[in-house]
Amino acid sequence: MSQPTFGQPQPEPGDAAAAAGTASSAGAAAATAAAATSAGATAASQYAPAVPRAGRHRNLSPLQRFLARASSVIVVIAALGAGNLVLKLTPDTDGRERPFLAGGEQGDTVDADRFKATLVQVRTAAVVKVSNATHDTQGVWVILRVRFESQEEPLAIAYAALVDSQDRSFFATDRIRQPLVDGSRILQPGIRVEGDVAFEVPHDAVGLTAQFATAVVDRRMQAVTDISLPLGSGVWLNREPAAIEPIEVNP
Amino acid sequence: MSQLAGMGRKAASHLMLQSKQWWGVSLGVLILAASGLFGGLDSAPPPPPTAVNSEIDAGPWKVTITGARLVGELPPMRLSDKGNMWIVVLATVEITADQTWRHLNEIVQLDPIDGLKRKVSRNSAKVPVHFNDGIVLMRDAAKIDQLNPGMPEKIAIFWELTAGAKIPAEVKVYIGHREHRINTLTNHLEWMDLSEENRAVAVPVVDKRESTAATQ
Repeated sequence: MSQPTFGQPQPEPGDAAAAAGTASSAGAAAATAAAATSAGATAASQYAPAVPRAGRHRNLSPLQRFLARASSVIVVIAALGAGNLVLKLTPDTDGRERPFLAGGEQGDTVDADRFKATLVQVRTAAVVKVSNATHDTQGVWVILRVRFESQEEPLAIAYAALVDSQDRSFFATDRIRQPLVDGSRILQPGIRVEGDVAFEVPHDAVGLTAQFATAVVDRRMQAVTDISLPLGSGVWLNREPAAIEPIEVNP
Repeated sequence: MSQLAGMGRKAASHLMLQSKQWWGVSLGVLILAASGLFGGLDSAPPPPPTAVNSEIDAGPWKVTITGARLVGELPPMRLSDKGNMWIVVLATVEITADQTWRHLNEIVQLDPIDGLKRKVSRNSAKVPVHFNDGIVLMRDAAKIDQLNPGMPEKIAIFWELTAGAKIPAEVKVYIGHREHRINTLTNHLEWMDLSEENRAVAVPVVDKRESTAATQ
């Protein structure tokens, strides 16, 4: 006869069901079945002692069992909530990979890693003039005189935008040709190039900053200038068409 | 009669013995069969074309198609052959995205027309369309390929029709739709194609060749 193992019913002398619990061989099982049949299974189970359950939940009352299960559910919900909180507190992919903004004011030489930019002058107008053609707008023309200088290698400025306080970006207009910022003008290192860049913004655009970069589309983790424009909330518009001045080299 | 009642009782008792899963599956099969019988499994018909002068909110832009014209040479758009014509669709477009939208090609696409110079392409919904030959800002007749947010503009979209082609009395255009959501590949928030939402607008074509010829 084998020894009772932990968690198995403890045999009682003369108890058929207990005998079944301790039987280990096939023969013993058969004998047990016969004994159960002869002694009466009902009677055997009726007199069987309370079976001690294994683990920390043995002999728990229904309330304790409920509380144990409920606490498991609460722990899982708390873990999910904590995970969600961590996700909310950490920056998303767009935030993690945002451009590195190099701030400055008019007149400052702003270092944007591969190039330097200086905002020389800011004009606003209702109409811009290029050669003999004039272009009106439903908003405001903002014309920046900007000086660029490549730091180490030939490059081109391919992104120029004004960003307002609502985080709206207004790219340099394509209604006129703007080779200085459309990626076509190559800047050689050490040679300063200055020119006008025209933007069209709606009347409600305030708190404008000028952003320039070499990347056309993907500016993630790229150095981008962020130069504040000295414009108040109300912009006085010159009725005279503002002429776009030609590009100058080493002004 | 009693034999029939006996069979009924037998069937009822058989059904009572079935499991919940059996009942669930049987109910699902019945619903599917009924749906299929009444056309519930058929693909939904496309929405009817939107009327001219109705604003369509298509995600990063709102588009109102205002008309279509057939014109001759009309600077700054140059025909490749003097005998050809332009089909011009007029629209008011407002960018509602938070930055200037470059590449306006997908906003208004033309349903295929015989005799059009530009080849048929497939848009993001795999629908055969003609992308345009150029877009002109009505304000100053400047050729453009970008529009600013918060500044609705009237634009003219051009397609070149070859000489001798049948003049369409009406053209159908599709408005491209996009939705702002996370790109599951890059995890970036982007304006993604919402191809199943391509809305069509049927636009009557007004022949203005004589008036444009007079301005040349």
